[in-house]
Amino acid sequence: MKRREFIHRTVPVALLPFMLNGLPLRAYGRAPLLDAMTKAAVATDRVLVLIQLGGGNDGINTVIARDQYDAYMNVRRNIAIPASSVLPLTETTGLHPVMTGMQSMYENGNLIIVQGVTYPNPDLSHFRATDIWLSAANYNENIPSGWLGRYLQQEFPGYPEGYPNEVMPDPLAIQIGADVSLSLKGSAGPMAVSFHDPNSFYQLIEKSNKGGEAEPPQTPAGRELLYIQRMAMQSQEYAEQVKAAADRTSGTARSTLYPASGQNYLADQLKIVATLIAGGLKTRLYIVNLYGFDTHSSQVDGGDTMLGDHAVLLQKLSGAISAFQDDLKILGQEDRVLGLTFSEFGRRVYSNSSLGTDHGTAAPMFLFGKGVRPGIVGTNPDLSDLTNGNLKLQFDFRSVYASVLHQWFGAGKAELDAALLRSYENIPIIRKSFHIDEQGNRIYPSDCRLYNNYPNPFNPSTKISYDLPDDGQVLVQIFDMAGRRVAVLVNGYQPAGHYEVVFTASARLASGAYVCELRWGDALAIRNKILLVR
Amino acid sequence: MMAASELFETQDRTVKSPASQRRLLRTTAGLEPFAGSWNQLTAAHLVRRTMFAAPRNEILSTAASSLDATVNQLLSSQPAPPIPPDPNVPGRDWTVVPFSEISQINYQYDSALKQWWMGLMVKQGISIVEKMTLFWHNHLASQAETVRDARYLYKQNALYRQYALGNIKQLIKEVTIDPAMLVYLNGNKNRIPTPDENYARELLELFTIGKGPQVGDGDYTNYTEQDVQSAARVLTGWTTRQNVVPPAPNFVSRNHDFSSKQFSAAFQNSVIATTLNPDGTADGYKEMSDLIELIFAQPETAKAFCRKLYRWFVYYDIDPNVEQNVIVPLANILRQNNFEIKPVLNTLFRSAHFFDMNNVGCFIKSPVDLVAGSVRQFGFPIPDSSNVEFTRLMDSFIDTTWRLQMDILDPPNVAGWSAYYQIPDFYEIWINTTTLPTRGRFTDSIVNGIRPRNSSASYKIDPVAYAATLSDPGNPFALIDDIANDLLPPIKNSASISPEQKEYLLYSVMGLVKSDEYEWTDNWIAAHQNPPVTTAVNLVTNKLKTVLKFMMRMAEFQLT
Repeated sequence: MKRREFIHRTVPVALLPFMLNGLPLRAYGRAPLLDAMTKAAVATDRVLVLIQLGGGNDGINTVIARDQYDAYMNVRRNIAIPASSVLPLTETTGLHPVMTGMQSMYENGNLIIVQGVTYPNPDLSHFRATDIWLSAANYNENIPSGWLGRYLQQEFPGYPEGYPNEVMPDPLAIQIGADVSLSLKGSAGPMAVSFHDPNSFYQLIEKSNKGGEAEPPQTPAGRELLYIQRMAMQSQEYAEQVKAAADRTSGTARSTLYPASGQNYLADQLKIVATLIAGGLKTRLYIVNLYGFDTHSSQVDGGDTMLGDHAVLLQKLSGAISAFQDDLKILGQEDRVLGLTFSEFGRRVYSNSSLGTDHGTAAPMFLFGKGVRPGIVGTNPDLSDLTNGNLKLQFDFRSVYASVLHQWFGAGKAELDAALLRSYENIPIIRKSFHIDEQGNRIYPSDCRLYNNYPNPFNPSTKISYDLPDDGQVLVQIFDMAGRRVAVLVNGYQPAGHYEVVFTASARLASGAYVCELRWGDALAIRNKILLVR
Repeated sequence: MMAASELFETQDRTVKSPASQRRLLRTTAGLEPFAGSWNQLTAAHLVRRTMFAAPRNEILSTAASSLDATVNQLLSSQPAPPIPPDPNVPGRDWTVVPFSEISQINYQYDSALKQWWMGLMVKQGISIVEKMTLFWHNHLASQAETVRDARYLYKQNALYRQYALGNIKQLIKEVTIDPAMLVYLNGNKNRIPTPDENYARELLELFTIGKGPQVGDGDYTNYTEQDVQSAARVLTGWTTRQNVVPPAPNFVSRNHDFSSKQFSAAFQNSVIATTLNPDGTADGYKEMSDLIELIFAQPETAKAFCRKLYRWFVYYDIDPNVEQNVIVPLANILRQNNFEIKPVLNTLFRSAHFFDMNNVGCFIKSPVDLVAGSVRQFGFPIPDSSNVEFTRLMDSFIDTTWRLQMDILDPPNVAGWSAYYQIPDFYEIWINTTTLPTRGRFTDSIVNGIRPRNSSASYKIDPVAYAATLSDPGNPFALIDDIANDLLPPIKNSASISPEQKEYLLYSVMGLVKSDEYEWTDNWIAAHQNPPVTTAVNLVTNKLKTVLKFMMRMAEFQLT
């Protein structure tokens, strides 16, 4: 049995809630062993933040195919972004001009784009497509639970019976918004706490009344309504833990990249998420959202295609994510957090005459954080090879889910099967140095490292060992003190891992000091001095 | 029983709402007839306050009728319901068997009685009778766990139902010698030479005239300690015989105090003397009756009843204006009509005061309002009462109201539930950080399914069938408006939800996409095709479930 499962399946009776005169009381017995395990569990707790882009984001104008600009102009001249304004990521691919924040993240190695994500036989209804994305169902099946709910059920069996407890005192998942998302529903109900009333959530965290309603009227009904609303806030499940986490973060220096509160709804939500993460909540999943991507009309301004509804949304998206990433770094949490964006569908390749786009299919997904394997997976969608005017599938969204669960959370086959119901392709989206196994331990070396050779001094052979945190091009060479290369031990592509290679000095090499050099990736070069004594 | 005075502080009769730091707008309207229009809003207010919530068809039918006709319908007498079925001996009238036949399993009969009563409430027709029966149970409280005789409790409950729209003075006479009450407040142990004052004290303090400000040693303005003692002596000799059937009070003349009973100046220094029967025994009923007449002759008594009715039907805050323009005139009506309750209710429910917008939506639902009301609201499936499943489901409802601090037939003490007397919180006592989530779990459960203990069935509302009763369910804007009007009081400038709330419900809760709201319409239509499209049925069902659960967790839903 896995360690985490062991913890969750052996919750002592003392942790279960009991009733006294009809009122639930919770009593916590403290067990030293349990405490020790709890602390161990905290050390490896990873967080996933999902950003839902409601309405169907136009991927073609978000991640722009620079290598198909003629085709691009051809299919959507009235809303095309000028080639000169596209923010380049690679020779062939760029971002919408307002997405400077995410362009920097890409350059800093904190962003990965998965191209052409959808599923076979895509549905173009908002409702149905959203349900498919949240439940991970096939186009022709209805599944009343969500992929994350099923995953959490594996990790925290029996929830909510016996929760909160010493091992998991915090919500398994937090959703800011209405009813708990389908994605977080397990077979026995929601696996998450949703803050039904975003305003009361803001009040809880920031003690401010934001964007909410005016105070109830000064009538008897208004008085009673106010009273019940106060009770509702006080009785919000996990309110104390959430508030305590927020309080622990208050006063800490935060990113200056966040816009003023109320300017960017997504940034406001992500700032709260960062607050709670830094405040020590063990909550594993957060879902936030940005709505309004259903840009049938006025996606761009008639006079300037770089302005309009879509530009405003993408600016919010890019600004919020880059501020959040900066904030996590300042708060010392960037190793723990992975972010992901998704939308129920992309949009039609051909624009319509009202300066907008209709419902489409495949679109890019963004994943961000220190743990992502930066770059672009897949190719630019082929704008001239369409199915019913829509883009073709490159990756199934459930492959992305499976890859996140496996690589980021260390989910094994049983958990993957339970969460996703079928097997899906594993896409390399997380740096291997961040991969963990089912016990929560890192599988691969965390850094590129060259160890001291053994023996040293040596004659004529010595063993040289090194760590590679990820797959890549490797060069291991020996130089003499004059800088002349005397041997090449390794030159080629190697997967992440620990390696040993034996260097045997040829007879012509004289006694003396030499340099062993490891080159990995683009720039890194590590050198050790080795001593040959004849 | 502990004396009520030990349980809580004096009931002040003109209480402000001290908990409120905000000045409340109260209406200055009085009992003049309501002159506003009779429509769905006003009809909803009346039927929700006089019954346990109100389903759409009841609001529509009463709104299509008239205020007069609706009040007449609400206040018309109802036939007595069938007796509660015997859980052990089918067909037996267990309410009239000797106690020895059920004494070892009395708890089963207490349960049967509660199930029966809950069933009457969730299946009520358009009538005030069930809410008035509960009113009397709250006002003239008895606790099953003290009485320990289900037959007596049934008899008391039948008495309250019989007098739901009857004569208050006669009801007080009857309850004074009601077997359950005689047991509950020790009337059956009240005998010479050492009278038990328990019932006499509660009769004055809680059941009738009420305690006024203490103005001297043992002087509570409306009565004194001497009056308690004299009243107790008047009532000496009454007892119960549990194995004599049918259950009835029994007067034992030799236990009666024959001496004359002197009352204080609060009762005009009246003296009550024992009337002798021809055989020389005391006429206990006559003497008890004299006492009740004396109490009802005091103007304060009628006012005390009217205040209690006001707090049951309108709002708890009785400010000087309400006292002057509502309570005093209602009390006059009550006295002028020799304590018949109907003329009082008739006047109140046609008054400008009752329908003033400031009195709409300020009533926090009691647990029974919540449970029975929610069940009624959606036509929740109730098995036939002859089916064992019926008792299981009723037990589940009873368990919920118990968790919500309202155990019918077992109120916390002789004063009834504190929501109707406890200064300054009143109704707010129902809502705390434990009960509010429990209320939410209950309303979730009627949507997700209730599986009663020992039952393999799951009972839930049919959200699609419910939506089909709305004016234009395929139109999401009309759908949300209709559900809001069905479930929430119109306290947002006479609307049930604010524009912001509507926006939130449509786009965040229902998950509609702006400008593509037609997707709901398409799915609604597809779900009602022949044959229906399965995915559309699922989608429509799930969205409705989400919306209904969400709206029943809105703070406004706790108000009526």
